[in-house]
Amino acid sequence: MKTDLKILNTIFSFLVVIMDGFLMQILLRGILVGGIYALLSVGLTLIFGVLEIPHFAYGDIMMLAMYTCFWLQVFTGTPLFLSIIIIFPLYLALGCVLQKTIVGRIMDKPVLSKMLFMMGFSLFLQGLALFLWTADTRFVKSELENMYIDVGGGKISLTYVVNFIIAMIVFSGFYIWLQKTYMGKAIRASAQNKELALVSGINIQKIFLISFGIATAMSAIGAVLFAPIYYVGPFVGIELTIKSFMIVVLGGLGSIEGALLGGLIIGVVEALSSYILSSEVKELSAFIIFLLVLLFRPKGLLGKEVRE
Amino acid sequence: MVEILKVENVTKRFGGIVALRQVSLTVEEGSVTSLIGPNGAGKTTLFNIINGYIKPNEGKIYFRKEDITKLPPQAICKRGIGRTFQENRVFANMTVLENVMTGALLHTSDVSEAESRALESLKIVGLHDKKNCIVKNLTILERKMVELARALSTRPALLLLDEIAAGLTGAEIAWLLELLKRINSKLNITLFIVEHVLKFVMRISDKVIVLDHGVKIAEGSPEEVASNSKVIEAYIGGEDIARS
Amino acid sequence: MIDKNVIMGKLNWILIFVALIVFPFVVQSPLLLHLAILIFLYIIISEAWNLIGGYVGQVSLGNAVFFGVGAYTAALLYLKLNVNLWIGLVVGIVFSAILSVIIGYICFRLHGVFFAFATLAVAEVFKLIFIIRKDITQGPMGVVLPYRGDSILDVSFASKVPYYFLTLAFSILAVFIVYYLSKSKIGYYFLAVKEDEIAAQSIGINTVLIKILAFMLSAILNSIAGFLYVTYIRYIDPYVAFGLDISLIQALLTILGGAGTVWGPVLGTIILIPLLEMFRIYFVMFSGLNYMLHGALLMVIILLMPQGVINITRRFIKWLKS
Repeated sequence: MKTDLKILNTIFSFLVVIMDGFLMQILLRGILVGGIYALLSVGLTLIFGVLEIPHFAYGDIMMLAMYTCFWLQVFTGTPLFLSIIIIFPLYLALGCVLQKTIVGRIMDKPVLSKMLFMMGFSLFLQGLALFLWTADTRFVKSELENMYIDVGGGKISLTYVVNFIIAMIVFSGFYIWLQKTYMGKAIRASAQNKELALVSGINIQKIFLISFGIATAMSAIGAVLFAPIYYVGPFVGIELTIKSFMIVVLGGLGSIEGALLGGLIIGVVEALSSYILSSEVKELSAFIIFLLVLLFRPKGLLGKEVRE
Repeated sequence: MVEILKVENVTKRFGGIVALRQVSLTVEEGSVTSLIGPNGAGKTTLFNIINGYIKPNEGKIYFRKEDITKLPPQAICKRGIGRTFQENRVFANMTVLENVMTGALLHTSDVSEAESRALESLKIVGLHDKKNCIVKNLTILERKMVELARALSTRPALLLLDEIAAGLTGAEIAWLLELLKRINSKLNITLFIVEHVLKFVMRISDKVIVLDHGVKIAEGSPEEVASNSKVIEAYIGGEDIARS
Repeated sequence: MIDKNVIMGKLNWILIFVALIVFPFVVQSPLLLHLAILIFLYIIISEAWNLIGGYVGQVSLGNAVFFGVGAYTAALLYLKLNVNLWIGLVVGIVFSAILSVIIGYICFRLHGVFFAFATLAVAEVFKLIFIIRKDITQGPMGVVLPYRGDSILDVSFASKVPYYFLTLAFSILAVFIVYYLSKSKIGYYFLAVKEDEIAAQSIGINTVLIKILAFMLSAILNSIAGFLYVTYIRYIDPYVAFGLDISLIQALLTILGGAGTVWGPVLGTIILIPLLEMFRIYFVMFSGLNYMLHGALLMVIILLMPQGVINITRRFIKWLKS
C-alpha cells in the first residue's frame, strides 16, 4: 500500500513539474510575443489619443513595413536588426508624408467619415500589395532562427527573446521620449486637451504631423520584429489592425502603459489557447475577450476617457 | 397652488464630487420658476436628473404626484415634460419643419397631421416662413426657436429651459421674454428655467430658487432673492443682482 | 398641367418596370443576366445597410452575420434535414431577426467606432465558429447545393432567368421597404436618432428600440440575400458568408450612391457592381486592382462627395428637365 502511494506521489509530482514546465514555457512565450505586440499597438493608441482618427489602415502600413524588411533581406541580405535602422527613419518620413497629404485632409470630418476613409485607404493598400507582390506568403528569416534557450521543459527560439528585448528597449525609449522631451510633452498635452494645447502656443499641425510619423515608425519597427514569428502577405494588415485595436481598447485608448498591459494580456491569452486548441479557437477566444471588454469596460483597464 | 414638480432630497455624486446635496424644491403648476446660481452650482445636473438622463444617488422626483425618478428620458417626455438644452441640440441637417415634426410625431403616427401641428408650433415661435430652411444655416436665436418649437410640439405640461437666453442680444432677450410669457399664460405651460442672465430671470419669474455648490441657499420671489445676502455673497465677482 | 406631370411620372415607372420584365427575354447573354442578378442581390444588402447605417447612422461592419445565417440555415436544413429551401428561407429570416435583437441589444450600448468594431468582432466570431464546428457546418470547405434538375420547390434552375426574377422581386421589396419607411413616422425617428440621440430621447423617442428595429430590418434583408446567394451560386463557405467583404461592400455601395436616401444604394450598386465584376472576370491577372478601386473610390467619395453620387445625379436630372 505504502509503496503504491509513494509511486503515485512521485508520478504526480513529476507530472506537476512537467506541466509547470510546459506552462512556464507557454506563459513565457506569451509574454515575449506580448511585448512585441505592445510595440505594435502603441502607435495606434497615440493616433487615437492625439489625432482622434480610427486608423483602419494601421495594420496595412505595418504590412508594408514587413514587405520592406522582406525585400531588403532578399535583395541585400540585410540582417533583421540592421533593417530596423533603415526602416525607422523611412517610416517616420512615410508617416509624416501620409499625414500631410492624405490623413490631414479628413481631420475636420465626423468620426464615421474618418473611419470609412481609413477603411478605404486600408483596402487600397491591400490591393496595392496584392497587385505588386501577389498573394504568395513570404517569410522573413531571423538570423537567430536555429538558436534556442531552454526553459523548464521546453525550448524557446532565441528570436522571441531578442526581438522582445529590442521591442522593450524601443518601447521604453518611446515612453521616455514622451515624458522628457518638449515634443513628447506637447504631444501628451494635445492628447489630453486640444484647446488648451492650442492656447498654450503649441503648433497643433506640427503635433499631428510628428505624432502620426512617430506612431507609424513605432508600428513599423514592431512589425519588423513580429515578422519572423509570423508571415508576410497582403492581407496581414487587417489582422494586425484588429489585433492592435483589441490591445489598445483592452489597455485603454490613449494610454501608453495600457498598450503594454494589453499587449501582454493578449500575448498570454493567445499562447495559452493555442496550446490547448486550434488556431481558429485561439482567434475566437481573443475576439470574445475583446467583445467582453468593449461591453463591460469600454474604457479599458488603464484608460483615461471614452471617446465616442 | 398645485405642485406640478417636486424634487425631494436629491443628492448626486460624481466620483468624489458632490454635485447636488439634499436639494428639495417645488414648482407650482402654471408658474414660471427659475433656477439660478454661480457656475458649477449643479443646475444642469438637476435638470438632467429631472429629465431622466442621470439617476440621483438619493432622493426622488415627483411629476404630478408620480414618482418619475427611475424613468428613462423618453418616458418622462411622454408624461409631459419637455426640454431645451444648453448646447442647443437641434437636428442640424434637417429642415426646420422636419425638426419640429419629429416632436409632433409623439402624439400621432400620421405624418401630415404631425406636419400641421408642427406648423402651428412654428407660428408661435415665429419661424413659419423659414420652415424649409436647413437648421444648420440659421442664426443662434432661430436655432433656439427650432428647439423650443420642437419641444412645444410634444405638448408638454412642464417645459425645462436650460440657459435659453445665453448668447442673445438685449433686443432678442426682450423678444424671448414676451414669447415665453405668452407660452406660459396662453398655452398653460409651466416653465422651469435655468438661467445666467439675471435680468431675464428677474423679469419673468414668479419664483426664484438659488443653488450654490449643489445646495439650495435661497428661494422666493425675485425681489426677496435679489436682496438675500447669501445670494449676493455667492455671486461676488458675478453680476450685480440688486441693480437688475 | 399637374395631372399630365403625374401621368408622365407614372409612365416613366411603368416603362422601367416593363423594361425590367422584358430584359431577360430580349437579352440572351448569360453574362448580362448574371450581372443583373448580382445587381439585384447587392441592392438588397445595400438597402439593408442603408437602413441601419444610412438612416440611423450606426455604422455596422457585421451585417455579414445575417447574410451568412440566411445562407447557411437554408442550405444546411435542406441538405441535412431535407427541409424545403423556401421554408429554410423563412427559418433563416426568423433566426436573423432574433439574432439582430440580441446582438443589437448588446452592441448598441456602444457608439461610433466602438460599435463598428463590436459588430465586426461578432461577424468574425461567427466566421470562426462556422469554421471550427465542421461537424455541423462542414467547416472551411463550405457547403454545396447540388443541382437536382429544374424545380421551383428546390429553387434550382438551369437557366438564369428564374433567378433574375427572384432577385428582382426581392430587390423591389427592399427598395419599397426603405421608401415606405422614409415617408413614415419611423423614418423621421430614424433620422432623429442619427442626428442626436439625446435630443431624440427628450422628445419621446425610444432610441434603443429604433436602433434595434432598423437593425432587425437590415438583418432580415441580409438574410434574404444570403438565401438568394446560396441558391444561385449553389455554394457557401464561412469566409464568404461572414466575411468582411460582404459587410464592407454594403456600406461602400450605399455611401457611394448616397446614404440615407431611397435610391442612393441602387445608384451606387448600378455604378459599381458591374465595374467590379468585370474587373474580377477579365482582369484576374491584375488581381488587387479591384481592391485598389474599392479603396480609392471610398476615399474619394468621403473626401469630395460625402453625400454620395445621388446629389449630383438629382441636379443633373433637374438640369435635363429644364
